[in-house]
Amino acid sequence: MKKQIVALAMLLMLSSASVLAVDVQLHGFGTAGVAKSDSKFSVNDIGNEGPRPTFARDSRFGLNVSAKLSDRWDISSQFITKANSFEPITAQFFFIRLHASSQFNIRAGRMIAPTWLLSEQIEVGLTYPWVRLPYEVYILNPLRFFDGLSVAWTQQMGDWSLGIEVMGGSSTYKDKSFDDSKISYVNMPETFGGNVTLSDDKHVLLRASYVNALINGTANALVAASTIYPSMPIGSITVPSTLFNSERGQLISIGGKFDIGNFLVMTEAARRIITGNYLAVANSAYLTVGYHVGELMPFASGSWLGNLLGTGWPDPDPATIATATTSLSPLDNQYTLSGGVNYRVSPSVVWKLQYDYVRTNNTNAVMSKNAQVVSTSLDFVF
Amino acid sequence: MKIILFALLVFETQIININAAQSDVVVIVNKNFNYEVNSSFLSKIFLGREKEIPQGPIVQLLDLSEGDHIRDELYEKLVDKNPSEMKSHWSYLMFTGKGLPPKVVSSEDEMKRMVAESQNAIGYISSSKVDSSVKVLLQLK
Repeated sequence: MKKQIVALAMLLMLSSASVLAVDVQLHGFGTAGVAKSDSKFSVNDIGNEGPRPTFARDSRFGLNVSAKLSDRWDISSQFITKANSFEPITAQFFFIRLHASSQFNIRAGRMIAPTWLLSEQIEVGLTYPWVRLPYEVYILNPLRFFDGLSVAWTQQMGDWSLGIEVMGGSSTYKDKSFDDSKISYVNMPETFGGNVTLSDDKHVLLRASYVNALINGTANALVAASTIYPSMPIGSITVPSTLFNSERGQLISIGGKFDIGNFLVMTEAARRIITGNYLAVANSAYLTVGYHVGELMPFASGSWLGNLLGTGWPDPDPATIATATTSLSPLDNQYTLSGGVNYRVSPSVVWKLQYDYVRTNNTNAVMSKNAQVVSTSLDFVF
Repeated sequence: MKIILFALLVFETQIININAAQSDVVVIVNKNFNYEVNSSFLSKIFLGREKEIPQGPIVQLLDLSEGDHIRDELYEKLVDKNPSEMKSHWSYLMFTGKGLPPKVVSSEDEMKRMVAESQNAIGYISSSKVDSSVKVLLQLK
């Protein structure tokens, strides 16, 4: 009901904008992607049936409707549909913004959480070189968007811009696994954080960010009946479980993008610390180097995730078995080595081809299995 | 006779090309715009990073449509970005909710007309199109 009211409010605002003859803009983006792994298990959220090629992992389409209401006020909204999403359409953001001065702007409404370096552009494939963002880093971020307030301050310093953004609010969403076997309900009633950005708008972008969230989460998982009742060799049952029970999550990252001469270098290190009923610290990082040759850009990339410390759940009763299949055990780690190429078909269209070599020391059917993945995508904006 | 006509045609074509090459892009404002703005600040305006002239008004930025060679020339010379880089730049700002792209006008004549009519508008045209209805803020060679 809340979503319908917000959507209606946005519609009314945009209708009013049209009636008042203000500048309303409609833009969109999308990715048509296909991926195939050689594993019968899920690898980096790529399906496990076959292994057959899947369009579900990377394909999506988004629409952006924005309107400038006056010199100081504007509204923006963005909706996305994804093949592997729980909801047919998700509102990524809808907010009203006040340009309070040349340095300050304030947004209120729903916004994408600025957690990692590229979190806000995670769905816009045209803006990054990979078919999908480095899995080992971006899987750590449970925060998709938040409803609340954001205040941004920008200071120009010669050719450089220094930006500081602070945000606060709450977030609630449902999600499903790639094969519909698990539906997660995540609620983060207290979320706050911020980031510092330094950019010259041409060659260098540096960003450090910190987000703190109180996390509650449950999941309904479909598991083999024999997992819980050994006397039942066939069939499956739904097991409710607790993913997070008022745990406190801290998400920290520092990253940079360097586009200098023919070289593109992107790198980021991230840490997630969860404290509460159990403790888990996970570190991750990636490094990508590309080289522009006209409209072509071959690239090589490596990303890594390691769980430095994880005490696990204090009470591993059957109800938490499903959780065990989604949590890294102590000392687990995974890395992916990737190589690929981008071809800029036009300013609005990029074709990508990518090969991933995934290795993990995890033996408990967690995030991935050792595998090789080949992916290709066509990213576009309009 | 045919050879002479062909020679004249080639000569005329070359004159037209020379004129086109010599026509610079100029950033234009309203005649009553009385603020000093340097090229560095203008580049930030055209990248959507600045919206307000120091001690001055909030500007209304105007843009030609994608594919227009005057547009491509302006961004190459002013902000050192080609059309693909500009597309990525605005895609980032727009689809992350950080900014809105400028209002697009259909032609240089329309841009000149809108700048002449609006106190706060900033646009650009080729120098050969400049007349007394607008003021040149910056010439990009």
